[in-house]
This record gives sequence, structure tokens and C-alpha cells, in this order.
Amino acid sequence: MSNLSSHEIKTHFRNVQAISSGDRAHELLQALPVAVYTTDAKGRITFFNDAAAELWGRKPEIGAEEWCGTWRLYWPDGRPLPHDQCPMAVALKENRAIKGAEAIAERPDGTRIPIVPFPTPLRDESGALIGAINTVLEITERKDAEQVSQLLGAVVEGSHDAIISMNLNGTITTWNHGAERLFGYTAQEAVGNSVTLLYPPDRSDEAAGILGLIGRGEHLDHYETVRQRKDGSLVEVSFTLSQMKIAGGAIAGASTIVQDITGRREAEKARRNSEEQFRILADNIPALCWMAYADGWIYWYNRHWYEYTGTTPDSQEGWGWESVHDPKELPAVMERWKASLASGQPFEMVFPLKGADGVFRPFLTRVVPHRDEEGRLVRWLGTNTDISAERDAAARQRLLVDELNHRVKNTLATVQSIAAQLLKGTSDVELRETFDGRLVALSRTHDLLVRDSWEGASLRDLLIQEFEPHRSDEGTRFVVHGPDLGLNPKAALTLGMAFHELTTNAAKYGALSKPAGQVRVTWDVLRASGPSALRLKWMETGGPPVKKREHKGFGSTLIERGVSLDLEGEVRVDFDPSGLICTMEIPLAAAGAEK
Amino acid sequence: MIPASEEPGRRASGLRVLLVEDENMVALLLEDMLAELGHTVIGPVARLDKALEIAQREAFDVAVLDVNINGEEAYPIAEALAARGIPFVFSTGYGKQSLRAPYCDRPALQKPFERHDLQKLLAELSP
Repeated sequence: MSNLSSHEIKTHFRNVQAISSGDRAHELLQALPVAVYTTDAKGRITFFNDAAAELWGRKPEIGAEEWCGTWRLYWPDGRPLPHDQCPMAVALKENRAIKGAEAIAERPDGTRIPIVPFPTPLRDESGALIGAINTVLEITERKDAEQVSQLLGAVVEGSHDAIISMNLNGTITTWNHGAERLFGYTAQEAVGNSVTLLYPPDRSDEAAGILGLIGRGEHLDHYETVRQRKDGSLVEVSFTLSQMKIAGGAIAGASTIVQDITGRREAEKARRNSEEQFRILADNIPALCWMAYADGWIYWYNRHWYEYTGTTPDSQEGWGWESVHDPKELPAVMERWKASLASGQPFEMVFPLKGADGVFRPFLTRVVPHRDEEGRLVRWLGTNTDISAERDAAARQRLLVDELNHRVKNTLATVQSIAAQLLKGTSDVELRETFDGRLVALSRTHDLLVRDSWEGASLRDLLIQEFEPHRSDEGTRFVVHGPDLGLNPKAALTLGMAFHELTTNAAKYGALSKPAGQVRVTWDVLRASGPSALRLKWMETGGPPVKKREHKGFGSTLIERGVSLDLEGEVRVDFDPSGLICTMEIPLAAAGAEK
Repeated sequence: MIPASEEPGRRASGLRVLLVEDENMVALLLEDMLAELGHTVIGPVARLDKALEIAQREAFDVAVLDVNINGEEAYPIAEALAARGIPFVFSTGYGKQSLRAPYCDRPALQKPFERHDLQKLLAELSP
């Protein structure tokens, strides 16, 4: 922009006027760094300098074009401005100088330049209008500065952060909406007050220090402190303070951007708390814990891992854990673990891990995948729990049960021996066999119960065991059909004895005494009315015709008394000529069935 | 008790049977059972060291070994018998699943005893 003031230019051209339109005048005008052109009294362009041609972006035709050499003209608000209404035209038509009228010139290439023309009429010595001279100043830079300023104002006002400026005394000079939202004071209330308005009473001493910083030209970046709102509540803030300089570089005050960091602080505190809780938990649970990335690379172990294995983080990171595995078991572990890594499925396995003392102990290892909100697998969380104590306890219990079983069996064998001695010499072989059979049946049921740690036995297993010695090669002598049912020990012993009596009878006189005979045992659980009950049916077919009197000595009393007294059930034995039928109905509560 | 169709096809008799059993009454029962089946009983022996000595030296056809002899396991005897190629059967109250390797698959006689079990096992073992 030219440094010439319009006044200087005018003075200048009054002198030029005196020189008339000679070459010297043109030379002078040509040399000026501002756009200048002249017209005759009718407005026809008579001269323009290079600066004018540059401003317009074109060269108008001398003596033909009127009023102005601009390609197009607009009012400042953007409406088209006809050439014959431009300031130069007005100056000529009204024969007066016009100062400071703004317009927008458009070049043929479309660029628009805000301009301020200074058209001044030229008169001859008699005072008659002979033309006009116009000096046109570009005001682009001025416009830009104004726009930037407006833009900045909008940015400040629209900012969610509180932006406050103050002078060197700490008096608030501007206050945006963000500041109003954060502190509760309106701009009207805040501007003119001291910034100490925002200081909690116990922090009023901060003010002097901060104002001192401003005076010395120092900055503050993200300074975290506490301020007080209009309603008296405190707010945790972070502020950044910078100097405001006026032309010449003097410090006029400072602007601050204040952010409410309460939420951030709380989130951070919560995160720290949660992390700390996790570490405390992870380091104090008895299990070994670790975390791995999605590809299985372990990046963290808890304290117990290092304590148990006697290793260091450096040696265990990634796949270093292989060093505490039993080389014999490792391939199987690796295979399973890699299968989980590939499928993203949880991992569960028991394998030994070597302790710091060199002893391998069995660990139950569980690894679960951790997925993010989109379902992507982000990490694995693993625990290894030492189960050697449980294993030892289970082994001890097994040993105790085995020992007890051994004693019981020896005692039964002793009883068997006593009976054998008593019966020695008698000719009643059947008596001895019946006795032995019952004793053995009792013992076998006992075995079934011991197998499940005396918790119970399955009805099906009980039958299968009793039938075992009588099974034919074709496997067609027995049909056993019914839902899985667990019997309590008492029911198992009672029913085991009952099945033994029925089987023995069938083998001697019934279906099992003929090759084609069949024993069919079916049962179901009745839940229709009242308490649930087990209903079982024993049916023989294919045996010799049944004659009731042949069954003297049959253990029907044993069956009836057992089922009714021990199990509160009912039993019925029918000596149907085509085969024996025995039905039982036992309350499920007494049978102890839980399935 | 035993259906005729299920009788083992082969009957063994006249075997010399070493009986290792530490409980008198149980031993008495087995002696009677073995005698009834027509076998000759060597023993019964109630001590591990004595049984081991016999197992290593004496002549007999098969052995019936109580797994638990006065709190000690009968496996050393089993080992000695196996070394001589003499067949044997365990008698146990634990059940067959309690037999230790390498004897898991050896025949086992369950206490209390079933006569036909004893008969069948001896028939299977006899040379």
C-alpha cells in the first residue's frame, strides 16, 4: 500500500493541473506507485498509469471508455455498481471531489479487489470543468486484517474453552461464552473486575505470582490449579497464559485459555485406582497370572509367577515361559495353546510347572480371550493354579477309601470262611451257594459305591454288574432300558440285593435257565402327581412255565422288606405262567436320585 | 448259581497251588475251595520273605497271591514268579483297578470269593 495520504496526492495534482496535460505531467503520473487516471469533462478516459492498469488487470481504450477502467464494479455489499454511478461519475456529474467511498473492482480474471477511489474534478482557470483525476487505493490488506479480527473474535467467542484476557493489573478486559459457561459470570459481570474474582480464598497468593509472570513476558503452559465459580463451587482447571503485545512490542496484558479438567482428573484417578487395585489383586491371589497379546506373546506376569518359578521378567517375556515347563509335556501344551491362539477359544489344561526349588507341580491353567467392543481379540488373560494340594488330598482320600475297602472285603471273606466252616460236612450245597451269592452281591454293590467315593451308584450299572456272569455271547438275554438315574448308597445296596435275588431265581428256575430266555428291566420316573417316584418293571420271558410252589426259598421276603422298609416303596411279584413279573415303585426322595 | 451253559470248557485239577494269604480265616476258605477243586495247596504262607523264598525255589504250578500281606505289597513275589515263568493270580479286596503296573492286566480274584471265578482263573492259568 502506498504511504501517500489522499491529501498529499490531491496537493500533488493541483500542481499537475497547472502543468496542463503536457508530457511532463504524464511522465510524473506514470511514475507514481498508485493507480491514477484522468478523464475529460464527459468522463472519457484520457490517461491511466501503469499502476492503474495493474489494478484493473486491463488497459481501457483511451478516449472511448467512460468513468472508470475497471472491468466490473460492485458496491461493498456485493451488488453490481454501474460505471455511470461510480464515484468518478458522481464527481464529474456533481462537480465535486469524493473521498473515501468504497467499492469493489473486478478484474477480467475474476479477482475482486476492494478499492477506495479519490475522484477530484479538474477545472480550468475560469473554473469550468475540464475533466477529473482519480487516485485509486487498494484496501485489500486493511480488509483482510478486519476480517481476521472478526474471525478471531468469532473463534474466541465460539470456543468451548474459557478465553479471558486481562491487562497488566489483572483487570479482566474480555470474557467469552466459554468463560461464562465455566465460571458462571457473564461478560458484563466479569469485565472490569480483577481476575482474583476467580481465585479461591486459599489461593489468592497465586495472583501476584501470575501477574508477575505476565509483566516479565513469561508463558505458562497447562498450569493446573483450582478456581472458584460464581456459585462458590471449586473447579479444577488447566490454563495456558500468553502475553498480548500491542504495536511496538509493549506488553499490554495477557490472554488465558482455561480448561475444565475435573472430568479428566477423575477419569485419570479412576484409571489409576483401578490399575492399582488390579495390581494388588493380581499380586496377592495365590494363582500365577499373566497377560499376553493376541498372538500369545506374554507381556506381563504377576509377582507370584516370578516367586514360584524363581525367574526374572527378562527371561520370561514373550515365550520365555517354556523354560519352566517339563520338556516331555511341552509339545502337548504348545499344540493346545497354539490351537487356542488360532481359534480364539479359551484354553484349559493341567500341566506341570517347575518351581524355584526345581520341583514340578501340577497346575490347572485357564486362559480366556479378552475382546474389545468390536469383538476383536486384544489379549489373553491366563491363570495357573497349583493343584498339587488338591491332588495330594484326592490321592490320600483314594488311599483311605481303598484301605477301607480292603478291610471290608477281607471281613466279608472272613465271614464267608466262617459260614463255610459251619456248613462243612452238611450236604446242603444250595445253602452255601445262596449264602455266597448274597455275600458277593453285597460286595459288588459296595464296589460300585466305592468307585464313586460312596456318593451313590447308577441304577443301570447296578443291573449290568449283576447280569454280567449270565450274559450270553449274542448279548440278547437282557434288555435294560430307562433314564439315567443315580441311587443313594442305601437304595443301591437294597436294590442290588433285590436284583441279585431276582437274577439267581431266574438262573435257577426262570428265564435264565433256558438259552432263549430273556430278562427285561425297564423303568421311568413318574412326575405326574404327588412326589416323583421311580417305577421299575422286571419281566421274564422265554423261561419254563412258572409254578409258584417251586419258589420256596426264593428271596422274595428279602426284596419286599428291603423295598418297603428301607426305601418306603412298594413291590409286587407276579408269578405269571409266561414269566415272572416284578414291579417296584419307590419315592425318588428315598432312592436319592438327583438326576 | 452257575448256569450250565457258562461252565468253562476246561477244568483244571491236580495243580500244586502256592497260597500266599496273611489272614487265617481267608486262607482257610481258599484252602477248602482249592481242595474241593482237586488241587494241592502249598502254604498258606503269611509272610512276605517266606513267600518270596518259596516263590524263588520251590516247585509248583500256579500261585494265588494276596496283594496286601501285613501291610506290604506282594509285587516282589509276583516279580520272582514272573521271572520263573510261573503263572499267578492276585486275590484282592481293592478291585482289579488298584493293581499296579506292570501287573494291571494280571487276573484278579475278588474277595469275597466266587467259586466259579477261582475255578475259571485256575483253568486259564494252568499249563
